[in-house]
Amino acid sequence: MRTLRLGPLGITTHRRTLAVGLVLLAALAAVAIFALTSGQSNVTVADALRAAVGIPVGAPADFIVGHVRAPRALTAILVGAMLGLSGAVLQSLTRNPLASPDFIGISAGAGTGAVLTIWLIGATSLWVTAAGAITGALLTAGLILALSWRRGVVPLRLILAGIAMGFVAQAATQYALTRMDVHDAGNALGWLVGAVTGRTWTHVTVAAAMLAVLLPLILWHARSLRTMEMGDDAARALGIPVASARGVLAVAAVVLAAGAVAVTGPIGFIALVSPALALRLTRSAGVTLIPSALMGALLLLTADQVAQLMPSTLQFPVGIFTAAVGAPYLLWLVWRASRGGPS
Amino acid sequence: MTRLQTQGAVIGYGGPPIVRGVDVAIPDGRITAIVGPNGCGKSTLLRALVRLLNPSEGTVTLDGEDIHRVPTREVARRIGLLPQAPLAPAGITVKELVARGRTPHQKVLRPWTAADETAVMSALHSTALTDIQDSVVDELSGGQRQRAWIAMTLAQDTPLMLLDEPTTFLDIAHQYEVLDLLHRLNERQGRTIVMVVHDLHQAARYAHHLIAMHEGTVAAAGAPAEVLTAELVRDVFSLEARVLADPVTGTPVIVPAAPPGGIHTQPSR
Repeated sequence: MRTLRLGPLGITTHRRTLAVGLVLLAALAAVAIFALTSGQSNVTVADALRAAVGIPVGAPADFIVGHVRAPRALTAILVGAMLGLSGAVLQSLTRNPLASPDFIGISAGAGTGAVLTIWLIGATSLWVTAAGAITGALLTAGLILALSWRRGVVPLRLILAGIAMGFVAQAATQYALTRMDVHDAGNALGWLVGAVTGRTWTHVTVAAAMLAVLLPLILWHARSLRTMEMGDDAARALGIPVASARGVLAVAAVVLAAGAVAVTGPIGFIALVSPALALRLTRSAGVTLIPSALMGALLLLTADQVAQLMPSTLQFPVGIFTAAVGAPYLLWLVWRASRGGPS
Repeated sequence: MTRLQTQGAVIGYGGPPIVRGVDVAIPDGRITAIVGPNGCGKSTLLRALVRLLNPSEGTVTLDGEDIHRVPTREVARRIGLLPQAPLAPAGITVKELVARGRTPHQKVLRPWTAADETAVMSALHSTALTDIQDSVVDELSGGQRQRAWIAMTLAQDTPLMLLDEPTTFLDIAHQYEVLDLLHRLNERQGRTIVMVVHDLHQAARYAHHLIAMHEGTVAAAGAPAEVLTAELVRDVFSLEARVLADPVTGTPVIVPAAPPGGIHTQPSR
């Protein structure tokens, strides 16, 4: 155990969790520097870092780094963290490793919300699309909860209802696409693939703003989240206001996932895999939020870099890449569950 | 004296009430056992005593105050509960689990304190788990695991401890190990203990105060030697039985009567 202090405040954490957090942070910094400096035109590390924070260093770095690479890398980092955090909270709340927002229809609901905003009110501002995505995701989550409610939430019913709602949301999205203006539909379709290419500082701002509000809120309830993993009765007997804590955490996780979808389109598997990897690395008993967020950031940023390294004819959006990596993990989970092992 | 009691408590889960207007008083510093047949409402009563359920009529009072006016965290500093089926997070060690008992004493952004550490070490010591504090809970025997959960409740450092069927699912030696532990905690630390138990013999042997429930009401309450009679066993459990004295402790022991025609492996009287 190790305590980090700041005056009378402090948090106590396991040494291993702290070490994993620092290693993930270092890896993230390394990949971020690689992302800023490598590409068609090479830029030195010093110039790239200056250009990334807006200090002029001359062409082409000012544009390439300041307007292309930096917002793209930051978008990947922030959205990856949002997805990792959202998955960690949802998996912990449902005590089920399959309950990630992309898997239980939340991301699909967010996509529908965003597409409907574009179609029905012709939204062009990212803030408005994000609001649409959040509304869509919260409505979907509410419906999933209502469908799976039997005197409380049964995790398996929740996941099945979520998968079903995901298909319904996708159908609604498809319908909206067929009715939209061709130009808008083309844009929406490109966005629905899930990518961090062409992202601007506006995308970074939206993602950062959401994380700035929701990360502290979730961390404030971290102890409640961990305690609720022991069952509702045990948590309440330990003084946790279970109903309100669960409500706040569930809404925060859904809104984070929706924000991620609004910024990059649906990117699969990051939210599913990151919390599981963070758990394995930290060997933590119960959810580990900061490492899950860092893992999500690292995975998405790295996936985007690997996708860029492919020859240009083979380049594909990062969402397809994460799916290719995440699907085997899912198969492994199913395989292990079918053998009756611990889940 | 009693810190925890109910007045005309009607308790249920939304449908027809399970517990129908009971008055119970938990004697301080003693062991109370709640017994009764399946479905009589004993676990429901226990859950209401620790505020997991809200009586639809009547009240539960803690230190003279309606328990529903006491904040959740404050209740958790006075009453500890071992639920019937708590879930141990995968991979958690004994010490980490016991440390979770400190939750009601902790605040966001406040580090682990020396008082927390002392309470955890003392709980581990009382339950003889100090040597295996770094073992993973999933890998322990049933008895050890139950002791770890009891240690978690101990670390909560509450004057009142409620346990919902602490001996169910344990083999007989581990059942007595847990009951002896509770007895020791009551004797040495003066903790008030309330437990739901199935075994009447164990209840009579370890409890100072017995609450026998039947169909949602209290059929009898008092010292085991006075409460546990052949009539009560017949009325409450629908079992014809004789009540003898335990040759070791003198407490009542229930011996079921032979079925009509006798049991074929036994010579008839």
